[in-house]
Amino acid sequence: MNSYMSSSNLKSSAREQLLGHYGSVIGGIFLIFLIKLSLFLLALSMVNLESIAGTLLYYTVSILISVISGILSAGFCFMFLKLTCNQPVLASDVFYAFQNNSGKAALLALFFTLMSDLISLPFTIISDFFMNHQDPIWLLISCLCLVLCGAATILFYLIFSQVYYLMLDFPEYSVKQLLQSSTQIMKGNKGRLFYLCVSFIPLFLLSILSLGIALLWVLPYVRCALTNFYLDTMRNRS
Amino acid sequence: MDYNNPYQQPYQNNQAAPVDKGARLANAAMIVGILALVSVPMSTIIPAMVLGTVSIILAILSRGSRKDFVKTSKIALASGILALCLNTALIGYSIYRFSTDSSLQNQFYQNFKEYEGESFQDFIKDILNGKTSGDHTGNVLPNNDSSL
Repeated sequence: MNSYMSSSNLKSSAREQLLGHYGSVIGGIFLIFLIKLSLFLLALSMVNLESIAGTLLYYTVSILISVISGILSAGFCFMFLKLTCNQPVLASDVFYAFQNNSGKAALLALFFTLMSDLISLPFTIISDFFMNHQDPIWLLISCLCLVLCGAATILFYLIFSQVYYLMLDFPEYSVKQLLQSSTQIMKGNKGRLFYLCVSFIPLFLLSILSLGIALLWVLPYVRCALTNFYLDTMRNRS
Repeated sequence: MDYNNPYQQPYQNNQAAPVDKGARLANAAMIVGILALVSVPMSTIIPAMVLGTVSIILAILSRGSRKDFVKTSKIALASGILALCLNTALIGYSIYRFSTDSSLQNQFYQNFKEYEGESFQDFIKDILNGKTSGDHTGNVLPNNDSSL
């Protein structure tokens, strides 16, 4: 019989595990933020968006940045797996996936980027159509499309939310196996994960009031709770 | 599927952490909360808002796995909430005073005109029409129409 931890238990465990480790974790967040920001600014300064070639180059560089972000995300997951297992964590753990399974992490990141672009494509086309024609009916259709694409994106991320953890736990798995395993794990657990994610909305709203500064503590809390969710799900499966 | 989860055992032993770890974060939350409260009477909206919010979040996180808050966390939570409430009241009162006191409005419009070189109403109209600040002052961007 399954005995899944409740959302509040996952969160309270996360709070307990993070005590005394905020320094390293916030250091990791800073490293990821600085790398992403510098890559983005570098891409913007190099690319001329007024020409078609420049725009294409910009999108190519954007995908490249997404891939690097994905590899860093895998390292971030590794940091929290260590934290939840009482192992010492370092800010440099975010670079773990560059040395181990970097190819798989890059492929997974590319999959996420392309699929999320593909899911949001109908909305992009319809909103462009509305901007050109300024017809209220197209505004209504684009709003409807936004809701549908948003729901599809959420469902997509819920289904494949565990791939980085699986990649770290089972390095011998191929990308296809990782995606299949994540789909299997999330069968019957999507609602739990969705509820857990939604329960963080008040903290994110408070973080907006702090001009984003509070995110330095909120993001590790969220990631730690998500890691606990993964471990709890795996424990119940084994 | 056979999942040999290497993280399972340490994870289960992870529940009991030392209590004083949370105390450090609670102390930090209390200091930030008091700073937020102190910054409210200075009529500076942003520091009180930022510090108040951070103190609330730190107080919540310092709880750890406990159900209740320790004394310092409670002080942090109370001071953070109080700072946010006072800040909101201060902003609300300022808006109310400005909307009801005509002498205050006149003083503001006069100061605005001296500073920007045009009336506040014209400034808002220009913004709504999509003109930048340089367009209406003529100091920042060159005006092509005037050269013709």
